[in-house]
Amino acid sequence: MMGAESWQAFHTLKRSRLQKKMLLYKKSFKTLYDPVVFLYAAVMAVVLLLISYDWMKDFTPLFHEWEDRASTYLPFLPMALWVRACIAGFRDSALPFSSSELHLSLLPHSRREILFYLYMEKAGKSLFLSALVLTAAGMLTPLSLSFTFLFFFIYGCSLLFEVWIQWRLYSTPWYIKLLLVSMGGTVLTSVYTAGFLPWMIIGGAAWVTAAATASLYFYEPSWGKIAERNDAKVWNLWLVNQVTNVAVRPPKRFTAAARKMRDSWFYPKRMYDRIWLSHGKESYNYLVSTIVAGVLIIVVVPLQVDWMRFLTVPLAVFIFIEVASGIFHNFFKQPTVFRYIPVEDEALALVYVKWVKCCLLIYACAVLVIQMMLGFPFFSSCIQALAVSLWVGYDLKEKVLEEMKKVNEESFYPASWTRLAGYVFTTAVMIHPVSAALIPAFSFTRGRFSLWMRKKRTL
Amino acid sequence: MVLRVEGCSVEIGGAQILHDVSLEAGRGEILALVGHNGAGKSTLMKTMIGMRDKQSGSIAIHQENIDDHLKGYKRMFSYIPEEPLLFSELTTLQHFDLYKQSYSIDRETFASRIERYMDAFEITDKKDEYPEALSKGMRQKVQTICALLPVVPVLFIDEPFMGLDVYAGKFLEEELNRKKEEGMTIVLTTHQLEKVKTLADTYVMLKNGSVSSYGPVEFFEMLERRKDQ
Repeated sequence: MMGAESWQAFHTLKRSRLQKKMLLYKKSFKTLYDPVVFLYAAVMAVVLLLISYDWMKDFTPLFHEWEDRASTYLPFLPMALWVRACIAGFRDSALPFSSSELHLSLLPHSRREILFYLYMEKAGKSLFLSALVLTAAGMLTPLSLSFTFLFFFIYGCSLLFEVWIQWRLYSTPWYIKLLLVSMGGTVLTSVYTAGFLPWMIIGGAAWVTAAATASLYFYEPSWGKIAERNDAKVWNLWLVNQVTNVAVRPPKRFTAAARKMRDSWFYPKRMYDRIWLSHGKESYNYLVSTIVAGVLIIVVVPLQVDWMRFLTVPLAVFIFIEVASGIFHNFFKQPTVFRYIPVEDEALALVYVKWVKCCLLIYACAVLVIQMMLGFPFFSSCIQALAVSLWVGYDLKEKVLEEMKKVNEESFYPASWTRLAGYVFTTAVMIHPVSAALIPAFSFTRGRFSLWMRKKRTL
Repeated sequence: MVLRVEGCSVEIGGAQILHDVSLEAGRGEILALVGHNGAGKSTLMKTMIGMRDKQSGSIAIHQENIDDHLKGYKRMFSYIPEEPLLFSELTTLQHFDLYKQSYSIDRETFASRIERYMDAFEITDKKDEYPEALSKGMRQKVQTICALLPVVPVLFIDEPFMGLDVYAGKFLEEELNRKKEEGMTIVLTTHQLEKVKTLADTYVMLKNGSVSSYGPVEFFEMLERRKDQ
C-alpha cells in the first residue's frame, strides 16, 4: 500500500513536471520559432529520409562488410559500455535525482523507492530509444534484421547494468573511478590483442566484481550536490531561466578556470572574463550544439554536393553570429547587477567577443578540412579559412556592439547592408580565394561608411 | 510519551554540533526549542525529521524508531521548514494533492481542510500558481497548509511565524492551540520569546549543542526574570 502511494506521488510529480515543461516550451517556441519553418523542416526531413532510403541501397555491400566487422566486436560491447559508464560517472549521475525528488523523500516516501522508480524510468527510456533507433536503422539501411536484433539484445542487457554502475560510481571518489577505467581499458585491450574471447568472460567477471565492490564500499552520495547538478539538467536551465526567471543554480563547470581567475579579481577585464565564463557555462549546451551544427553544415553537406559550400559556410556563420549575439543579449535580461550599475560597456562587450572568437577557430578548421577533402590546395584553403574568419570576427564584434546599444536603449543604424555585403563576400571567397583581395577594399569602404554614418547620427 | 529523543549526537564536517541531547514530549504538548543562533536548534529539528544523520542516540515517535523503519517514522509527523521547500513543478493545489496522496488523507477531510485553510491564509486566488509566481510569504503559507493537512501525531515547525503576516500568524497560533487540544504534539523552534511563553507548555534550551535547561514553560519565565534581575 505504502509502495503504491510512493509510486502515485512520484508519478504525479513527473506528470506535473512534464506538463510544466511543455507549457514552458510552448511559450518559448511561440516567441522564438515560426511554426511554418517547423512544418517545412518536418516535410524536408521526410523527403530526405525517403531519398536516403533509396540512396543507401547502393551501399548494400559496404553495409554487409560493416556488419561482419561489427559482429566480431559485439562481445566487447558490454564491457565497453560499462567502462563508458565509469567515465560518464565523473560528471553525470545517470539518474535525474533533482531537488524535487529530494523534497519528495522528506515526505513519507523512501529514497530507495524513488531511486528505483528513477532507475526504471531511465532504463525504460533508454531501451525504448535504442529500440526505436535500431528499428529505424534496420528498416532504412541495408543492415540485416538479425544483426540489429542481436545488437539490441546485447546493448539492452548491458544498459541495465550500465545505468546502475554510473549512478553508484558517481558518488565514489575519483581515484576509484580512474582505477576502474584503467582496469576496464586493460581488460579490453588484452582480450582484443590476445584474440581469445573466453578471456573476456573471466576479465569481465573480475571487473564487474571489482566495480560492484567499489560501489558498495565507497558509495557516499551527497544528495544536495546531486540534486543541484540535476536541477539544471532536468529543467533545461537556459529555457526555464528565460521564461520564468526561476533561479536554478547551474552545474559547476569551468571550476579550474574560475579558481585560476579568482586570484586576479581586481583587474576589471579579468572580472569580465570571469563573468562571461560563468555566463558561458550557463549557455554551454547552446554554444556547443550551435558549433556542432555549424561544423556539420560546413563539412557534411558539401561532401554530397560540392558547390553547396558556397551557401553552407555563410549559413553556418550566420547561425553562429545570431546565437552568439543572442547569448550576449540574454545576459542582460537576467536580474544581474549589470542592469543597475554603470560598467565599461565596450570593454565588457569586447571581452565577450574575445571569448566567442575562440570558437571561430573550429569553424576555420572545418572550412580548411572540407576544402582539403574536396581536393583544393592547402595554401588556397588557408587563405579562404583566414578570410572567412576575419569577416566573421569583424561581423561578430559589430553585431555584439549593436546588441550592447540595444541593451542601453541607444539609437543606432543597424549595419544590415554591410552584413549582407559580408555574406556575399564569404560566398565569393568560397567560390575563389582571389576574392579575399576584397578585404582591403572593404576596410577602406567601411571606414568611409562609418564616417558618413557618424555624421548622420549627430544630425 | 509521543516523541522520545535519547542521547542524540550530531557531527557536521568534523565539528560536533549536538552533544548527547535528550528530550521528551507527550500527547497534546507544545515543546519549544530555544537558544541563541548556532545553538543547534535547527540541526536538532533536521535530525528529528531524518534530514540529517546522527552519530549516536535514538529518536522515536510512538515506539516507531527512526533507524528501524524510516518510512513508517516519516508517516508520524509533518514539518514546516524555515525556508519553504516547494516543488517547482507543482501548483499550489497540486502541492496539497501530493500531501493528500502521501499521507493518505481521505477526500472529505481533505476538501474541508483545504477550503478552510485557503480561506484563512487568503490564498484562494493563488491555487493555480507555481511557486516562482508566489511571494516568499505566500510560499510560506502554502508550505504551512501542506504541513497542517495530514492527521499525524507530531508536527515539527522551524520558526513558525517567519514570513507570515499578522493575520496568518494569528490564525496559525489558534490552529496550533486547536491541534494541541486534539492531542497533537508540536515541537517548534523560535526566537520570539513572547510566543514561547504564550504558546508552549514546555521548553528545551540549547547552548552550544547541549541541553542547558528544560522543563515547564513557567520555569523558563522564572529563568527570564532571574536574568533580568
